[in-house]
Amino acid sequence: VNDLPLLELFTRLRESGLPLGIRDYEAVLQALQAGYGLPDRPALARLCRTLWVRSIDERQLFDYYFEQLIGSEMVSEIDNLVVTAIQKQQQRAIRVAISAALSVLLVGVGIALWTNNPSPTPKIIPTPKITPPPTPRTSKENSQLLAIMFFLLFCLSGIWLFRILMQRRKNSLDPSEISPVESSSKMNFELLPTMGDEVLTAQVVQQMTTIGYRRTRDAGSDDYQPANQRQMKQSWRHLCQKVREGMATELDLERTVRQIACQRIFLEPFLVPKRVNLTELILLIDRDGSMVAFHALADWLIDTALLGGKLGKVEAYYFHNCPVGYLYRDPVHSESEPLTEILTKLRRDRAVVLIFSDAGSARGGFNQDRVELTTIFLQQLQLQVRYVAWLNPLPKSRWAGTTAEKIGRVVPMFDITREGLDLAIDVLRGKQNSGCDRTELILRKRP
Amino acid sequence: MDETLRRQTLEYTGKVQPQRGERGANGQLLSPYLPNGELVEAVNLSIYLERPLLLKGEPGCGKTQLAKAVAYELGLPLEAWYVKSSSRAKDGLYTYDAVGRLRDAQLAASGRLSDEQIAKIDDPETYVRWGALGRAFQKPQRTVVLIDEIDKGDIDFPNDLLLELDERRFIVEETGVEVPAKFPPIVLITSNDEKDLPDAFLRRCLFHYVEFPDRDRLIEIIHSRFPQTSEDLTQQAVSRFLKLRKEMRKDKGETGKKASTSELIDWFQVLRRHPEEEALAHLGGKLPYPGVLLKSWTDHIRYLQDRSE
Repeated sequence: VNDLPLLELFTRLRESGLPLGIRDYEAVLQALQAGYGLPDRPALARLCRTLWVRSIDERQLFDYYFEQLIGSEMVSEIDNLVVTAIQKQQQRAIRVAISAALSVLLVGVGIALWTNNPSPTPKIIPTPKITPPPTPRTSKENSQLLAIMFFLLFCLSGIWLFRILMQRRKNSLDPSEISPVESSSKMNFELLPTMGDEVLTAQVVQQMTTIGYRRTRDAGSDDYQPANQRQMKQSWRHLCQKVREGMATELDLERTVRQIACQRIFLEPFLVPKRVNLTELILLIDRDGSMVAFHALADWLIDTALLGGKLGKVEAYYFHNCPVGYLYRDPVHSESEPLTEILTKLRRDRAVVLIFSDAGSARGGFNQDRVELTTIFLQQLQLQVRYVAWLNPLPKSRWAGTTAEKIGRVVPMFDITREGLDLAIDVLRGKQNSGCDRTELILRKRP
Repeated sequence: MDETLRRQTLEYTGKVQPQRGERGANGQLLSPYLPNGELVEAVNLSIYLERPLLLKGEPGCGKTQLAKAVAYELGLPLEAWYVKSSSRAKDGLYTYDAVGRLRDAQLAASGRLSDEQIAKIDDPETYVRWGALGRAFQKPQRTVVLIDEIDKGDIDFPNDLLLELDERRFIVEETGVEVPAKFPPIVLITSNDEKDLPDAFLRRCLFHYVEFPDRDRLIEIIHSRFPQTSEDLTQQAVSRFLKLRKEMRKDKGETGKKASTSELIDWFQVLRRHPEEEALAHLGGKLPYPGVLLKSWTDHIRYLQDRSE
């Protein structure tokens, strides 16, 4: 039977989004068996970190859970736990041998007593008949022998009982003797006071990731899950518009062959430039106010787009509530840049714009001014870029009756779930299945 | 049992250093490398579990040097693959000289090749040029493979290597020959974090963040590189260097470019050309030889002026 050390930690890390698989878990076991990570707690932490953590962010998360879940006494337990299979078998064999020897001894004594024991009553009675002088000495000897036998039996069974009890006690301390189910439930109980329940976990996630998490959960839609960084990364990869540009480095096989056919001899290969992604992504991020809770999500969007690597160019600008006149280069709104200047810099054939804002749905209510200002801005924008899409950090159910609903009719608006993000990126790629009323925008464009 | 034996024979300690002036197989001067305990452990884990080790850390903190040090200590050959923006995953395994073959075919058609040359052309392997991984797979012993700056490649680059790193075999498409690894290579991969690496790739790697060395280790590094230098000069230079780094960290945060270990070594090399007193005097005043440590105009203005005020 294999016991599973560190399973709790592994599961927690998986739950909080580390991309870990069975192989990673096996690797730790394998390394533990080879003696890595064993002497003490820091060594164990180092081992797990090397095998399970692949970025600085993940490391913070790991350190938190390790601190929470792995006490120093756990380490010695794990130490015990990971005695190699051979050692374990040896121990087991010795234990079996001892118990076997003991039981044989006991049975032997038992039988001896059984054969001797009934003697007191029947023997004592017939002895006087057979042996003429029943000396008191022999009967005394007999009862002495009996007493010794009893004493021995008592001692042996006592020792045996004691051993069993000891083993029981050891079992409750030594996890190597407990089934995995038992040990994990035990772990849970021990850690319950320190680890708390999901709320605490949520707090950690919140602390590590976003404050917006809980808020959106409170919003009454429990199944609403904002996209996480991995999902964002994956989604960005779909956003591309590839064109051959730059140095000619790739062989164009077809043209080379055709050239050989024409010239009847091969003179030189025909090269073409590599295909590169030309999409220029402009992220417009609503900051502060009702968006405070979603700053982390916004930062993720920007980071994942920047490091995604596929996009031709990524730029982020900030605004508050509604972009009017100026956009800001930094989240604290100190470096401003006139909107017109930004718009003229954009390349109409390449630039796509993704707006991240709650469009007034966080506070609720309807604001006609905001709708109009936003619409004017969007019209300006539409003329300068290929496609525009809007991401709302709040779930669709919260838009009804708010400014967001109205704006959502002017521009394709999606909530920032995995599906929403993918749909928004589809729009930016030119797939117009957004469900928003395009005619309204066109009508508004020409009043 | 064989498996465990094979795995256990190699252990990197980080304590075996090349002698002064010792040269490597390619004639390059070897220099000592002083890793910390955690890094040594990570390397050993990677050797034991036969998984690639991904190294991240500030530029110039010795990520690339590690591979040389490991190969030196374990007495294994080193195959380095320096990834470029135009690199394809296949380049590390092999490239096929199709153009060369075409040329030869034409020469043969016009009857300008000897029989011997024609026999060579007939062998399809003639045009296979092995890459670093391809060579490592065929070596009769474990080989240290360095895949340097993997983040420079295309975003799909690491993913294209998964099968080869996982199953340790590949097929030369042009000849149909399968090349299995005779011995599992020890793969060290460095990344400067310019691009995120795909999760599928990360999952197959062990990860270690190479920390910037602390003061004592820096002094040790300087000592090991320049054994004849006076204690005083080393101490002073490292102090001055760390002070500069501290200022840089204050201004630029954790992610900005700061003076690195390799720059410290260069800088110290220049400093010690002077007689000791002169060098010490230099250190007391304006930052000497700033060009070695400060690599941007704003840095020059900021850290040189601060000093003179």
